[in-house]
Amino acid sequence: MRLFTSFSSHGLVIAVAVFITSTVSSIAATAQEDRLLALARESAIIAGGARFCRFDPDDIEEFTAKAEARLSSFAKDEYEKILARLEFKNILDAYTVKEPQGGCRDFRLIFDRSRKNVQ
Amino acid sequence: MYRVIKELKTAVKVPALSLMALCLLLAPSLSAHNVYNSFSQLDWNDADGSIELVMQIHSHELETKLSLLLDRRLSFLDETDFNTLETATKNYVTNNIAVRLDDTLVDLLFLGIETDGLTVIAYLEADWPKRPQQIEFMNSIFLGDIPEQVNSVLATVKGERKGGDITAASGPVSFDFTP
Repeated sequence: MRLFTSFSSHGLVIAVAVFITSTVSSIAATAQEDRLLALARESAIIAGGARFCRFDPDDIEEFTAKAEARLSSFAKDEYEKILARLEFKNILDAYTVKEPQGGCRDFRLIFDRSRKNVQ
Repeated sequence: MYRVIKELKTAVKVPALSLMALCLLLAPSLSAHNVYNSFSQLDWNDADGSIELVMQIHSHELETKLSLLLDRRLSFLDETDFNTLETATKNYVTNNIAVRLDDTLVDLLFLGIETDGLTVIAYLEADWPKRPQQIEFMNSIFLGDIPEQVNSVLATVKGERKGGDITAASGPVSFDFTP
């Protein structure tokens, strides 16, 4: 009986530990995914705004390629990589037809700074 | 599956003239964006025992391809073209995708399309009550037309998620969902 109680209590501890571990890793995965998608959105808004403002297509392509490479390097698996690309594409489409806040003249500075920062 | 893919590849071959025309028609849209991907989300819905496919395709490429296939200039921006484009999309998409679940080729029912900005979203589904363990998926849209075309797919079964890219060189993607 004592052995059973001891086993039960160990089992309970293990079950709780497994639950906590899986919950924590699930939250961590969500947080990592949230960060990745936020990064995808930020980059796509910049690229979309640059397209709206008709900045140099070579600069935009260079920025887009670097932003996508950065997203791929931050993704932990193929699923996240594609998810980030999908988010980037959808936000890019939306912001390509929307004037950036503050107008294109002010946005030039933001785009140039982003181009330098994205690696 | 590979026989199906081979048949698909044969079916989607277009004459050289049409290909040239497609390249010319695509030129303006290619300069407007450089992300050529289509995205498919393939989910097994255990609540109603079905497999659901949602596919996002860029409207410029799709309307250009369908215009060539129908030999008539069509646009998703023109409401009077919508029904024609929806029927043409149904034929084009269903002729260019193949889904195999646990070694069974699945006949997907085309439910319809909707447009969202520059994106066309196509919805398809099929009954599949048993949890699939192996999913094989092929999507050959635009693979013979646009050199950089990538058809990405995300698949989910009971919360487990997988992703893969289909290119002209890759062939179908396979996902293992064995518990």
